[in-house]
Amino acid sequence: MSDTKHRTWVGWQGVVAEVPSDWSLVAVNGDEKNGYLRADNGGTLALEVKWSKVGNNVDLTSKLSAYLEDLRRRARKRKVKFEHKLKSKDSGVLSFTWRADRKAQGRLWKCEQCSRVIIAQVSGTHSDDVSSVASSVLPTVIDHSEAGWRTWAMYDLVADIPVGYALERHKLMSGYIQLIFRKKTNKLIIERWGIANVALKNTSLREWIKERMARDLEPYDFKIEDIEFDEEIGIIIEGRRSGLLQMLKSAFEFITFRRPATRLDGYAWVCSESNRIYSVQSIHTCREDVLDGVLERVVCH
Amino acid sequence: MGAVYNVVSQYLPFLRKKPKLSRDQALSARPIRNPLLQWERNENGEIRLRVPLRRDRLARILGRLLRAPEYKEILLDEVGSDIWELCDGNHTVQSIVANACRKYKLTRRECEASVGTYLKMLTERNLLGFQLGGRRKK
Repeated sequence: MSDTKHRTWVGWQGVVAEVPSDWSLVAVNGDEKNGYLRADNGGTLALEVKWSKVGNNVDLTSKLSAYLEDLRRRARKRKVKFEHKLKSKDSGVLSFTWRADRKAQGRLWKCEQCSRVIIAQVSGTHSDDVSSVASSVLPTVIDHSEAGWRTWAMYDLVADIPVGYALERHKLMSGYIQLIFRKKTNKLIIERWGIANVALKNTSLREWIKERMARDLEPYDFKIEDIEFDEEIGIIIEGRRSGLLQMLKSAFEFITFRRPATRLDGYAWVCSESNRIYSVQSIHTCREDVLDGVLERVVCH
Repeated sequence: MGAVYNVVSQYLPFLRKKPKLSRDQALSARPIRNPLLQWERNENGEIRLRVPLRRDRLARILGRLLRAPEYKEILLDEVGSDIWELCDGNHTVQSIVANACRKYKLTRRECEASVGTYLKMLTERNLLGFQLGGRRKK
């Protein structure tokens, strides 16, 4: 992309696209195997990406035909004329366009590395310049990240999570984002709060985080230290599970042949450039320690 | 049927359908503060609203019995105060969103959602109204 300053990333389950900066993620569903994401700017133009895990022998043309047939059926229900064109087939990528009450330009391909079939399309109304947006956005759709990592990107937060960690829970709220990933007993929590200057007006980051995470920190014997984080105010959190209840919990995990995640490590920092507070925490076993790797890959501005 | 509905809804306001606005219409609406309210900024930069309570006969009797104050006070936080100040009938929702985006470095989508919810909440409490289309008459 030539104009990277005016572009941003959206990504879910490792499927990432570079879109104009006023676009954002508006709908997500599914998991790593089958899922969907939509990004738009609230107007009529939108990027939609659908992915599904497939076996080795898959006929892409029939997959695309099935997709277009589904669209045709829906258009018929609305009594709208539906037209489509299969534009080209090069390097295993099928390009298509369709026209009904809206029009779209898209691509379908199979990624040999992650064994997923991806359908990506930019759609808009008849008066929208879909083709120019599609030509700038569709080539940027990536179906997998760097080996061993999966990219998640939304609302100016870009994070890479190690493969094996599955999204357990997420909150995408205005001013607050939380992504919780789990791999067996290990947990990775990424949080982002907006309007840091207001949140930290009468308090320090340390006190603010303590207050915010009071419930999550309860099972741990923890300490928080101030650090300088890339020339920004930051804190480091270190803790260990403590208390009788937690010991029982660990004992139960041992009995069920799971290594208990007894350690908590985390960082939180204020990004003055984006006026946000970021936090990355890892609740892990003594063998699993991915925090530093994740931290290096979190882009806050 | 429509004429009957119009007549009935005139007398039974709960039957009135809420007007549906498109996104563009909503963004171009101009929020206006309820002129019956008094408000002031305190030393922390936060706005304190004084909302007059009901003054009908029953409210006056109950107020006297329970020694209720004449006003209800609402303290807006810093962000809310900034938005409130712009609800003067001259700024559109879009310009308020743009202003908040710039000041607090929020993404446009986040800001639209927050400002929209906040303005809706103020409207539901009768603290604000909206002017649709055109400029405010002076």
